Amino acid sequence: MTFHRLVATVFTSLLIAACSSSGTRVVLLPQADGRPSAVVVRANGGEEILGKPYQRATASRNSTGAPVVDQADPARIEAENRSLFDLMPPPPQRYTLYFDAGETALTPESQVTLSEALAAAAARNGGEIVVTGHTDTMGTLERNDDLSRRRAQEVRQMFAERGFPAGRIQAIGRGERNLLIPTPDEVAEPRNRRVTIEVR
Amino acid sequence: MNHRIPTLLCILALASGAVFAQATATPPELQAGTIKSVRGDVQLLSASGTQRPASPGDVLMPIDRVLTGTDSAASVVLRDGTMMVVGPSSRLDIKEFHFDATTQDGGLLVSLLRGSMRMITGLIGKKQPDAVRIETQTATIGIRGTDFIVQADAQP
Repeated sequence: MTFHRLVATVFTSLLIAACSSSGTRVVLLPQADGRPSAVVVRANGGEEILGKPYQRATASRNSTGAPVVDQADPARIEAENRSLFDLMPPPPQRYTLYFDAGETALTPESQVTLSEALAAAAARNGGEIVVTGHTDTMGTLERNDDLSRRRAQEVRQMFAERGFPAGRIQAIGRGERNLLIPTPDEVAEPRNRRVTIEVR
Repeated sequence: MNHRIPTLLCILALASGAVFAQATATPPELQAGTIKSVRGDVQLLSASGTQRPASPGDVLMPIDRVLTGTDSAASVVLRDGTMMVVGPSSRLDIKEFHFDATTQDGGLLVSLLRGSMRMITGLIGKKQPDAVRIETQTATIGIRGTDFIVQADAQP
């Protein structure tokens, strides 16, 4: 679980209103984890970068020059765009599964985790499960992509057998591209041989 | 009679083809995302021109249009984890979406023709901020990572 927080998110959150009569307004929203982000707004041949939360760029239909930037009032932005805040899906939940060495069977702890993930996905509106397989650095990139995909497909099957709609489960192989424990190439590392689950 | 059987077969084949197309889900790698929640009147217009009301769990394809009525809204999660909420009285086109889940390379172009939207970018924006763009009739919005240089020339 901690691992996911570490690699987490340089994501950008923004709000855009396009009004055909007056133009476009773009507001940069703060990130949930407080990290900085930015957007660039281009209009009429000019551009402005919004780099602080609640900065707003206004590109008017009939004006010339770059968008006009000002600071929006957070409370007003929320009040005027209630549904954009009410309907934002909750952040994804993440889980990690481990296998018994050299087996396709999950460890007992991971069996419990699987059930938790399933319950979380079932509780969501239009819930989906993204299963991602990872390997250690033993073997070639291609072989590991394939291996990790097959392991993800096995877990996908476990969710489907427990009744979750197969069409809403994705199985992805990331091979050795996302090591939990960084190692040089050709290093056996059981903690890198894992399957991560994202419920969204 | 002779020509009837082939015709019948042909109709059967067409009919079963249509049923088959509906019954088999679109390959996940071609989908853009999934509708998560719907408030009020929300319609999805496909590239082929068919319109259907949106409900949670519906698949969103690249080139689909999301149309919301007054006091209506919808949320979407794209395959790369990008989250979007489309506000009331809006028209939003997914103009382009491609994403390779293994390499996390991809591209996203969204067009907001009217109304409002909120977006939290996902893996495409994280790996290749340049590959995410939102356009309106008056502006183009691009994503910047946290690591960037700003060069400001004096404006005439």
